[in-house]
Amino acid sequence: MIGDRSWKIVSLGPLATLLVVFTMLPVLQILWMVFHELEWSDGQAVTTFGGLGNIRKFIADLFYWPGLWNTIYFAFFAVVIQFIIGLSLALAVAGMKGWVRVVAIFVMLLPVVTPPIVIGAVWNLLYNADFGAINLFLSSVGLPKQNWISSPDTALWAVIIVDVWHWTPFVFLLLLTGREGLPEEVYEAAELDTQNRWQILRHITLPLMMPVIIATLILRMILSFKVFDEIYLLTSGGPGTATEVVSLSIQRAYFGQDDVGLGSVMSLFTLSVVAGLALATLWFQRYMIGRSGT
Amino acid sequence: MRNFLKSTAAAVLLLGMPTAAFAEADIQLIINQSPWFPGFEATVEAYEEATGNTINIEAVPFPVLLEKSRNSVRAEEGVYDLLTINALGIIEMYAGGFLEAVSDIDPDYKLRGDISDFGGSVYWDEETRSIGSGKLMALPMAGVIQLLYYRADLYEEAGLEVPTTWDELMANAKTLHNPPERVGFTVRGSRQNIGWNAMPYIYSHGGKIFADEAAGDYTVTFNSPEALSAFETFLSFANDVGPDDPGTTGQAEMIQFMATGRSAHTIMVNAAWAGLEDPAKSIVAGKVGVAEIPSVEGGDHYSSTGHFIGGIPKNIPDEKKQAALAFMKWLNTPDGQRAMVENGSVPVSTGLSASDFDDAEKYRFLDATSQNARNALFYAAVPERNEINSIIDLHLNLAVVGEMTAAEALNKAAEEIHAVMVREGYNTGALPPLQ
Repeated sequence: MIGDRSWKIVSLGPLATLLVVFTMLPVLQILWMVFHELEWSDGQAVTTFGGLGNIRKFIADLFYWPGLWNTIYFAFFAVVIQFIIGLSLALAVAGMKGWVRVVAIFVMLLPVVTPPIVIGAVWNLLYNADFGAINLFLSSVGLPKQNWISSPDTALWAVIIVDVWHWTPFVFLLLLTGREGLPEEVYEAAELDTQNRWQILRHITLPLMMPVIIATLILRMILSFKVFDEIYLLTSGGPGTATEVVSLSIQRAYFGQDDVGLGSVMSLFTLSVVAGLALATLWFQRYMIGRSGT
Repeated sequence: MRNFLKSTAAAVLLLGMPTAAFAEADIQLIINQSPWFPGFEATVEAYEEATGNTINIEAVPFPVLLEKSRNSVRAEEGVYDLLTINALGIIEMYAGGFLEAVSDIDPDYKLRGDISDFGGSVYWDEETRSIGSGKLMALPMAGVIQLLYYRADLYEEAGLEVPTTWDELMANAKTLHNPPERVGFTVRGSRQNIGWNAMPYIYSHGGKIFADEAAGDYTVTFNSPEALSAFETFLSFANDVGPDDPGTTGQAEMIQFMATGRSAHTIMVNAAWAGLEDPAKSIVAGKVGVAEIPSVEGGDHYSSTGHFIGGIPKNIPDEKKQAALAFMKWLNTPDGQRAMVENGSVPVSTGLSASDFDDAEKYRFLDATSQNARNALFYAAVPERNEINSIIDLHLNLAVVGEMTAAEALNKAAEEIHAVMVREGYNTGALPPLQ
């Protein structure tokens, strides 16, 4: 008879090994590269100990720091707006029945299945200052044209709007699934207690959905932190550093400048920031669940 | 007896075939998809037909070309036998020691006189780690270079002369500036490669990035009064006679502006010519002229190169190196260059003229291409080139969108470039900041 301890080792061993091989080892290699310089001479790699050289380069980097701020700003506002719209849509559709519901879900899911390259092309045209549909509309109602993606004042919000358009359906789908998994008896009981819709939302729906809401927020926040394609296709980080994000900086360091050391510092620091945010959100989840008693 | 005759006849036929049919090994070529690629592909087919040799082409999007090439040259044995290397990756490939010098494969081969060396970028001196002298490392493949494009039909209507100075160009651009129907000039103001477009202005005004790269003096001179004057000229084109959003105008938008008849001038790559002349893609087909990029009165003319070279990796078998070089040598012959032009690609010869072809009108871009190739400018030829370009692009773009003045942008870019050169141990220095 296999003991408890042995069973834990046997059952978790393979997974733990995979985790170490595919997650921890790459991270350890990145950590090693942080303190080394990789150069090529006569076609051969020459690795030397570089001390804090890569970290100094990282601190002085022109693109990463504005990019980090933009990424946090982007992730926060994009996720909050996606959550508000996604939740509203999920609650609205949860009450629908028949073909109206099918059509509503189908239409709402279209943006999330659109390939990023198409999104980039379509929104580039929409935002075009000279002949974009948005400015043509503004002109037709007598308002001045705007340089949506070429003005540092509006460029980041322009890409946030695209991200909201792209990813709100995903948030909607997760929240709809969460809402539909709630027990109907609770709502029937609430109605008997003559609670109005606002009270039902505040005291029943939101607390019961809290685990799904937190999971959705964590997922979207992490994905937003990794944003690359929309920005690469729309603005490539410009004008100036108005839409620079950390993924672009890391891509530039690794592939543009072929600087593995600098790319490693950026990657490790970004990983720490995302892990910190995820932990903070998990703590918040526990706090909220504990508070609501779910 | 019948069998003997058949065998003899077959042997005679085989002996009589051109020896080139079995001369070279098959090779794998990596190249980027681009406006000049279809013409190049047709030229490769012509080579295969003429020689019986086989070239397998892998065409990839431009952003992954360098990365795939890096992976191949850094492997134990390379996947690709011939690399298409853009101006952005040339120094990295030389300095890393990844390429077999043409001089080492065929010591007798010399670049023909009419073939552009694109600012000396096909030569590398390992001792001084600089271009312009030393071994012949690679052969030019596609002469992508900037030209001045102008609307010849509008010039005729308005009685304008083709400009040779920036002032003349500005005067013409102002004459034809008629927004929103048409802008006078379109600059490449987006953060992607704005520096590449600004360099002909800067160098023709007497500005430079470094004091004397060839002599190893990397004193940063990017914030000189000459560079300031040049960049102010650039900004006046962007802001006074350009489209509404110069800060995001990249090459695709420049082509679009010209092809839709909404810009009277631009300075962009010669590879865009074929598309502008295609009535299916352009409403100005047959109405565009090209010329040498202007300069200041009496000054030198410059055109930034975006050319491609054919590099042969060290980590491939010798017979593949020979085969790759055989193709590149053929491409650089008059026949190869003619085939490139006739197939709609961009040649590397500076000796071609439209008058060499029956349909001179169709090839009227050739004289300007040859002229600008003779003015080829390959700047910041150091392994840190891409980092320096990023610094320049960022600050010039910030000036275009109004976040910095021209002087602030040049000062800040010069400061950052200087920091890179100090960090990497170059013989460097700095100018006092512009006021």
